[in-house]
Amino acid sequence: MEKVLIYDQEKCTGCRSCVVGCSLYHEGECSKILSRVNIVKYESTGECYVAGCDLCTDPPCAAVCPTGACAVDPVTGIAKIDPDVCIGCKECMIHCPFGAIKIHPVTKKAFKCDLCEGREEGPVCADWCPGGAITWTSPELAVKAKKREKLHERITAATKAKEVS
Amino acid sequence: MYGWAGQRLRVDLSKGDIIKEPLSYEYRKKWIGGRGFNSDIIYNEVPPEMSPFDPRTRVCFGMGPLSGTAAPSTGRVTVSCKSPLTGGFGDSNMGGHWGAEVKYAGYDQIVVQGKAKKPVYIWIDDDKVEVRDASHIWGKFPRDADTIIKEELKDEDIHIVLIGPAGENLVRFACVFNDVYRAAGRTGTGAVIGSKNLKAIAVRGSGGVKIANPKEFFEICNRLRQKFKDDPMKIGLNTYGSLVLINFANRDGWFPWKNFQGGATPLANNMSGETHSKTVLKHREGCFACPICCGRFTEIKEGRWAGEYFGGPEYEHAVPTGPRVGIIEDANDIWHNARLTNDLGMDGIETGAVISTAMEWYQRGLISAKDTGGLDLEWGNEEVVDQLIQDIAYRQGFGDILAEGGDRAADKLGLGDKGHYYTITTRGMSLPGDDPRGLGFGYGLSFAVGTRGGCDHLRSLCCLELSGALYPGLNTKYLGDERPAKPTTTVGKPYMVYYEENQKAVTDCLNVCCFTTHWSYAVLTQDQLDYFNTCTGLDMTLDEFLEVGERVYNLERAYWARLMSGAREDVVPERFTKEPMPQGVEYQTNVGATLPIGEMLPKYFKYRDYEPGTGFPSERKLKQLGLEYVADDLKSLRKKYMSEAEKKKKKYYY
Amino acid sequence: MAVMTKQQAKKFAEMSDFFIDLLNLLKEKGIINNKEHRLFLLTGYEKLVEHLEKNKVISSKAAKDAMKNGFTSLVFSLAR
Repeated sequence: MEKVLIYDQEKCTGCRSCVVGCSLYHEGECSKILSRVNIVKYESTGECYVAGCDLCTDPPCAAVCPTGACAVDPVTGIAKIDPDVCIGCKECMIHCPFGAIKIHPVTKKAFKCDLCEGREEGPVCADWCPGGAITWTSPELAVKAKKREKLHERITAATKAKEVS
Repeated sequence: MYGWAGQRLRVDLSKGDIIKEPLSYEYRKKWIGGRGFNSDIIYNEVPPEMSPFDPRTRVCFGMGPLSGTAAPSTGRVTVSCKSPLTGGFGDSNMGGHWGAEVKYAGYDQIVVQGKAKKPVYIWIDDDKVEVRDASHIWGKFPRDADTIIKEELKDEDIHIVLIGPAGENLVRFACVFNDVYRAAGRTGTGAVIGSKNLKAIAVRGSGGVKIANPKEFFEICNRLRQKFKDDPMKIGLNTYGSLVLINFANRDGWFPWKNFQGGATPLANNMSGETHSKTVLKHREGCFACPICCGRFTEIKEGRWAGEYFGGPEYEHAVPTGPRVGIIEDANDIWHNARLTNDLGMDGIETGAVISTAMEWYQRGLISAKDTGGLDLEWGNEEVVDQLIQDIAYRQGFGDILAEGGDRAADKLGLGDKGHYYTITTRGMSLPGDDPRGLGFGYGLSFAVGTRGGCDHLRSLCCLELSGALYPGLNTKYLGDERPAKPTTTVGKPYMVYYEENQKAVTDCLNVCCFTTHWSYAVLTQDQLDYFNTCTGLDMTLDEFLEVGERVYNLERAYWARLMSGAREDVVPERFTKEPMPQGVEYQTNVGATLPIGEMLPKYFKYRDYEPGTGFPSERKLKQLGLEYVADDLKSLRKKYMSEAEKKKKKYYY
Repeated sequence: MAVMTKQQAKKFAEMSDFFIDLLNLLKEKGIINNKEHRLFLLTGYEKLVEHLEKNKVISSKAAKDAMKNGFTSLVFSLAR
């Protein structure tokens, strides 16, 4: 089964382990701006979200790229940007619905997630996420797990309601 | 430069100066960072006779070389000052993400001195630093000030250090936060910040932290993170927060019940992590780069406080304005009180401590309704606790006296030694919610000698005697003996406290979270050395590394020595040595216990190489640590401390 | 190598907190110098055992036992 990154926003703790792991792995430096994955937070209300590449089957980023620098990799299934071909026009960045594409501060080219191509254990973000907000799994397995989790919650709540009444 | 940013930012609010000071290789090697940098500044720049509210005083924010990196839990910040609560050395540590942001902006430490003419906040935008008007946010809760500043600066992604109204009103135990709810709770740093008319420090950092050996560093970080996946403490803390400790505390009799009159109570489970997670947990939170994520976000759903929400609480934040003041029946009261101390910006521990002390004075007839302004200080009276928390923050009525802290309040009310018996403090600082008759004799020993006011669980955090039992062989590895892996024994505790204090100090210099190295022992001292060396490119040995911790610790001890605080003040509150632990529940494990501190202190002094009479660090030890100037400072003071005049003096430091 | 008598070993084994006393004895007997005393005080028991094994003060088996069974095993190894 083909694996993708699944983001379960309810589980995101906003710790940024994914962010710092990604930048270290790819760039040898720890930062937010060099990371391919981002965290969006509202500290006072506690809401937080992980914004990463959603591995669109029909990615807008590849569709709008004028040079073909951004194209779906046939092996990994994720859109990849070739920095040598990229002209830094930023169209992919603007068209990504998830804010998953950024402009590199040094090369000025677009850069994005490449699933840590070649890493045996899979993408660092999913490997390091302590809350299970990012998982590296097949969509089918992810849906099955989520269904069971939600069903369990509903049954527990219903049992509780019954006890109270 | 690898690891460090290489510079300190100094902001003088009186003169309006913004100075960037480079940090030399020798300096960084000697002190490493975080608490090390801070303690050095405080020792050198805040003399013993200076008032904690003097405009010339310093408040330091220290980050470490690992801050902002991929090592486990690198978001921590040490905040240090001369404490308004004790008059002595003070510091506190906060989580969150601000520390990483400051490193990304290019600074290892921020020192604030002077006093602004009107309320201000500091805005650090990488290398651009400015001081901005804060009159429109003065008086606001941190959560509101945070929102307003982000709107004003048009960036939701910045991180902000904030104080609340209590800091502005110079409540002696006011605290400081970053990311709204991550508190540096203890020793009153918030009041020092407030005394400078400083409301906030906002930061945006668009840089990063360079790593000397990125591949090796990644491998170490990865190996440690894999370890955390099935680490028992990580699982407990992640699932239930630090409230996971509640039922253990109750069973082992260290649960703070009614100002430590007892150590266990039947309804403790009302506020346990398990109960919290089923009733009010909104979601889990994590500090920067943390593999544990023990943070909670709470939303009260029922009862009179329904609708209130906040980040937290931790165990130590919830128990003081809960069971410590006799409240346990309705947990929503406990969550509400924690929300209040957060919004008002006060140390939950000191707030609950001083209220519970006042309640015991009231119980025993030392004070009456005429002292309290008519407030009925009955144990468990939530209306009164809710009122008092606010009165303390705004210095109104009886709250104005309590805002001075327990020992000063006792003196203001003329209660004498009898009043002081119930203040449960050492060197003026209150014990957090951990009764040493149950928590552990190692902890009890460290309460007597800790260098930010004693009564303090975080100077040693000697969890080798607690969670150490979850890691078979760990006590033997460091101490040569498994017997100390049990709280209520004195066996091996002097060495345990010595080792853990040094290790904790260097952990605070790196500014990584001690939950990764104590409570959870997934990260061992050798691992810390490895990630430190591969990150910075240095080649420190294990003993050089731990020696930094010992150096910092001795410097802080010498700070107290200059204030004439030494062996005589190495005491724990008498309740713990005189009163045998009563039975609170039938499964309690420490009924009858008292803390045998006397058995452990002399041996501990040997490890520390403190002089037996004064308790000051010996000249030999200070020279060994490269602290000759400190040895010179203490030379003339040793005799003075032993004089009859000093022996008779009343003990507190400002 | 016998660094102490069996009597001394027995006394050590009965101690509540032994480490600095053991290090002091080892320094007195010239097994470790000042610098090493300081090093082990800071870094702990395991580092001491490693050093004693490396310098053939105790055998590899004794070192293994010392880590498995703690200091009571170590002091009796040092008494042989």
